[in-house]
Amino acid sequence: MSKLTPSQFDSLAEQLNLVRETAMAKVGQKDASYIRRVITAQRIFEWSGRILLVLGFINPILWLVGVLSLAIGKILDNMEIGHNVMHGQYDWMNDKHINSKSYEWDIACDGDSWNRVHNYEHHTFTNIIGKDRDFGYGLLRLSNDFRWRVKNLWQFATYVVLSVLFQWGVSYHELAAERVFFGKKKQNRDYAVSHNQLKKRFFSKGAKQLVKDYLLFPLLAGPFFLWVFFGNLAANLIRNLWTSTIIFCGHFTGSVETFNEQDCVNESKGQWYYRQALGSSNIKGKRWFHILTGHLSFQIEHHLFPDLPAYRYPEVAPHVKRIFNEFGMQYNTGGFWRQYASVLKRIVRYSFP
Amino acid sequence: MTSKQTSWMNKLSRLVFHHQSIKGYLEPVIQVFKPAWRDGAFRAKVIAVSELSEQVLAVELKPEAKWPLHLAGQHILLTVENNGRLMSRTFTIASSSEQALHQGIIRLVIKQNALGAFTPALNSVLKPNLWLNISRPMGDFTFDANLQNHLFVAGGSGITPFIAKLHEHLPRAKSPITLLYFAKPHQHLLVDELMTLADHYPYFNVKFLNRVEHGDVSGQLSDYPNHHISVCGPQSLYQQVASYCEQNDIGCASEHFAPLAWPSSTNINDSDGEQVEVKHNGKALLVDQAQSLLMHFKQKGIQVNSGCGMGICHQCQCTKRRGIVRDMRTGKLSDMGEELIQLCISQAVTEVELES
Repeated sequence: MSKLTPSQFDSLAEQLNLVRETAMAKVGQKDASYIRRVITAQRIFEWSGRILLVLGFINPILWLVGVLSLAIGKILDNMEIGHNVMHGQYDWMNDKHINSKSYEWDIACDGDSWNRVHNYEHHTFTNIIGKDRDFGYGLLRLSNDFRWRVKNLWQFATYVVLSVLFQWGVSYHELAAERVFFGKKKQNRDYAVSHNQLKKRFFSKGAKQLVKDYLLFPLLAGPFFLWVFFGNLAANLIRNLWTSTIIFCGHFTGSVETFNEQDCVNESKGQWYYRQALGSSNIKGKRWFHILTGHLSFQIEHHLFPDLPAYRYPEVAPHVKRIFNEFGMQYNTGGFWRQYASVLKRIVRYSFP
Repeated sequence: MTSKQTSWMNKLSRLVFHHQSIKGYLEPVIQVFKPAWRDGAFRAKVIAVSELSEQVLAVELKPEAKWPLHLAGQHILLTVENNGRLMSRTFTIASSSEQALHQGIIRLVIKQNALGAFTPALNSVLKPNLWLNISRPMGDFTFDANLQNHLFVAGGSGITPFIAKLHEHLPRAKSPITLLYFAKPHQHLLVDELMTLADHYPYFNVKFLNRVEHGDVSGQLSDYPNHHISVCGPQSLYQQVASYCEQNDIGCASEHFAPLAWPSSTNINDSDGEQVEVKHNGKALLVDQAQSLLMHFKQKGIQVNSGCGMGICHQCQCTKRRGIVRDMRTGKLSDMGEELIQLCISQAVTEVELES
């Protein structure tokens, strides 16, 4: 953390604050219209998908298109809409449905739990070992900060299972960390939400998702119950693999750095920016790709400015890159396959002592 | 749709779409075909906008057919989208329900406050054919036609409910209606319209008054014994009329507004200036601008959620019902109306009402 001098950290903060303020000053009608357009597209993808699944009996190709369409609907809901709206990026619109307080997404994870673990812990303490429980999700060893254990030998398989069941992993994340069901309870934890509350929200949101995707919609399809059942299963699987992959590329590429708690005591804004910068990595791609990642392909910009409407990240990225260059900081970016290969390599590398 | 059907649909919406209401889920899609279609609000189209005098706008709106007709004296919440941001304010309808019934038009008379965030924006936002939102008509400051001898006391833009009542009831009036209209010299609104009404209807009499020449309202009221008094205007005017009515044991209908004063330059700039009252979930406390609202709450032992302390995580988010706060990161002042704020980066600049 001491690679820059205190005055350089201040100057870094000043320059990045200016980038934020300049971008924020432009936020307005264009952004409101954009998010409403994305929501409209999400509704169209979701409903076309659900209808096409039933029509699979005419031609299985229709079923396949339906699966893809529903998966895109779920991905848009989770990434470009849910994740970003829940970050408060659109709170300024004063819209009673498009804001971080009321938005709930189409995924097993309860929105409030996500806000605590992701918006607070992960975004505040990014990559601080022991404070950001997203670093390896308590399942994977991704740096030498963690002691090697035998179970790490098969952590690649653990990673594959986590990706397949990603929505349930995200949903269970806070309960696992709080040792709600298993493990030794931590003493003196100052936590606002009771275990009962966590359990209730976990089961109620999870049950809603299961009933909806695997009972209600299949039943509505009558004789085509199984087409819809497996269609929903496939769409959820695609969404899980996609979100997991994008998110892993954002924080676990080979050169992403970790930090320790002592380094981050009384952190200045400049130091906080610095940590966000080195704890994140971007993925290059076309516009459609960025939209489907919820602009998490601009993970660096997202971590610097989590409440700036995400589709403005491409606009601020050149300025961020220029500032990083000026301070000799790494701007970690690359094509999808390069970044993903780097993640897989990291998972395999730390499987061993 | 009946309310039973709506509640059933909303239950389904919560299960299937994770949205509090089915209308909320569909809103952006329906807006593609019907601009400004919004859950919980009525649509209205701007027919005409004209400047009555400097900084006074008359806005004619055509509410959608299902809008319930108003009674003269009632108000609505007007919501417009200004550069992507929904902003709402309450305005009294300054036209009769007959005009709404026969021509489908209601009129608002809006006094613009140069320092405000809402009314100055209206010039650029309100254009003919624009769709916006209005609430159902609200309020019980209406006219009782069974009573005799009405005395209306208006202050400033408090003329609006009275002009609606006059248009609505003068054609059928059977006893005198007198209007005492206080405003700063030469700042009375709708003067020509009121004079025309006075010429046309013998039962109606209007006096344009200002405090400099005519003194306080209390001095005028004794000229009208046995009148039923209605008052609409600023708090100070209302209080004078109310205390006169109390002393003389007569009833008084009122609609008074106590808008939060736009902060003076002292409380905008002075970080250790005076304390202001903050209401949180109904409980009041005094705070200064030396630190954030969150710090004040913590020091006073008020339980609120909190997280990063730097405006990132939204854990300490509250709904601000009204009042102005400053974003400590940028120094920017908020709007006066309802919005979400984060306690850890907000300071109270005026009185503020919050809900967690």
